[in-house]
Amino acid sequence: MSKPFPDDTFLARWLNGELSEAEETELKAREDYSSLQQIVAGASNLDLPSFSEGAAWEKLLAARQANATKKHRRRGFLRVLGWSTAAAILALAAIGYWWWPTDTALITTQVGEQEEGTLPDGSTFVLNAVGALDYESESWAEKRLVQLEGEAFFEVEKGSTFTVQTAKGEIRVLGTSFNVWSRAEELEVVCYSGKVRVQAGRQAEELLVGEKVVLLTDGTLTKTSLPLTPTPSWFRGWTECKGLPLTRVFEELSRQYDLEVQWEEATYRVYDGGFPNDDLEKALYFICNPMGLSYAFNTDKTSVRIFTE
Amino acid sequence: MAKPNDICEQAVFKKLFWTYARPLRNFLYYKCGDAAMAEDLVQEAYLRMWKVCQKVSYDKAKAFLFRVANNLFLDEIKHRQVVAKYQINVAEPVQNFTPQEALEENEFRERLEQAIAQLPAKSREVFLLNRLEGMKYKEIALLLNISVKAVEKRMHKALLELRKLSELI
Repeated sequence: MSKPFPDDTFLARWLNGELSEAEETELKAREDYSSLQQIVAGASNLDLPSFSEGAAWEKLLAARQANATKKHRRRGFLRVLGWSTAAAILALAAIGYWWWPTDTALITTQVGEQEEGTLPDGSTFVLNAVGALDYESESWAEKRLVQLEGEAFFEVEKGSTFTVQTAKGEIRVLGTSFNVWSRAEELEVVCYSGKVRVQAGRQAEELLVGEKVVLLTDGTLTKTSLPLTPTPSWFRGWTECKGLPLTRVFEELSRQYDLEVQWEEATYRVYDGGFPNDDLEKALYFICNPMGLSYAFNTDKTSVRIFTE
Repeated sequence: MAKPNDICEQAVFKKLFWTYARPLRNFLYYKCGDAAMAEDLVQEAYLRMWKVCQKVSYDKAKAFLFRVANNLFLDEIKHRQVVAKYQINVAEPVQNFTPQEALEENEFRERLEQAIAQLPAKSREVFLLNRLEGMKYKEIALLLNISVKAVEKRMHKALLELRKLSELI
């Protein structure tokens, strides 16, 4: 057992270089002096774990969305059935727990992930990175309804109205394929087959094959046509960024790569191109080169700084 | 019409997130020593603020977040044994160790990480604020609302514990 120290702030003062000469000598004479030195040296190698505001923000949005839908669902359920019926059903559910079907399905993706799935009627979806998709399988037969935050492509089987709800608008179809991009305040829908109806506030647009609608920040829907491909480019590991503001391009980049993008330039420059989702260096080159920008990574490659040459 | 600094507005809320999420995460990380838990608590604190956004003014948001996060942390440690995990800076330039030296170096780091994880929360907080964040004792005292003397005591205790623990492991 080592000797006790003269007082209970001794080592704190040592670290701060506040010891007197006599105290220094006393410390150095101790048998545990070298292990104390080793601990302090070792602690200087510790580093903070990485953190990405962008990814954390998307997660927060998804969690908020999930919370809101859950609460809404519960309230509706109880109002219709009343408490006593609900209690009886709960008791039944407890008995038959092993076969009781799950009533909700929340699918989420993290940075750089994609998730494919099939809905109860055989319609399919692919959810792009940093997104959340939710539906109720129990009521699916009456109401084909999906809630979405993020980007997803749907191929819908023919049948009753199929609705995708997003923060800023609703997309209704009977049987088609289409892509929805819904993040924060923005919404974009592209129709790949059949007919798609997009409703945002009081405005509505009908899309035919190869047409795209964008919800602008002033609340208006704007329709354009675009050259048709059978599926969105992100299926093929490519993020298409035609005529997008650079800020949005960098947002998309940080959804495909676990990376914080630091970017201080004027935000309204428009980029016309795209980047691969599996090669970060190439992706940065594709974005920065035509725009006359340079980039530099931090030492552990968790963030990249973009600047003008 | 939305008020300019209405934090219920998503754009304003997002700005608050980008301003305080990182300092808040670090603050929680020093307390719990667990990066994943720190991130979860950050998210929960912001979710709670969103729920009551009408009652929180822009100027009070920072204080609100830190207070809620601190309470969440205290609740959380009541419920679970914290297993702290420290991430070592992997970007450190690779030195030319002999295999034996490299092994010893890694072993020591691991031992130290485990030892820090087992420190009492108050000592770990002070130790990491000083060693990782580079804060002076006086600054830590102001942050935690304690005396400089108390900071020094916690720091001294942290080193004592670390020495004991790294010998034991």
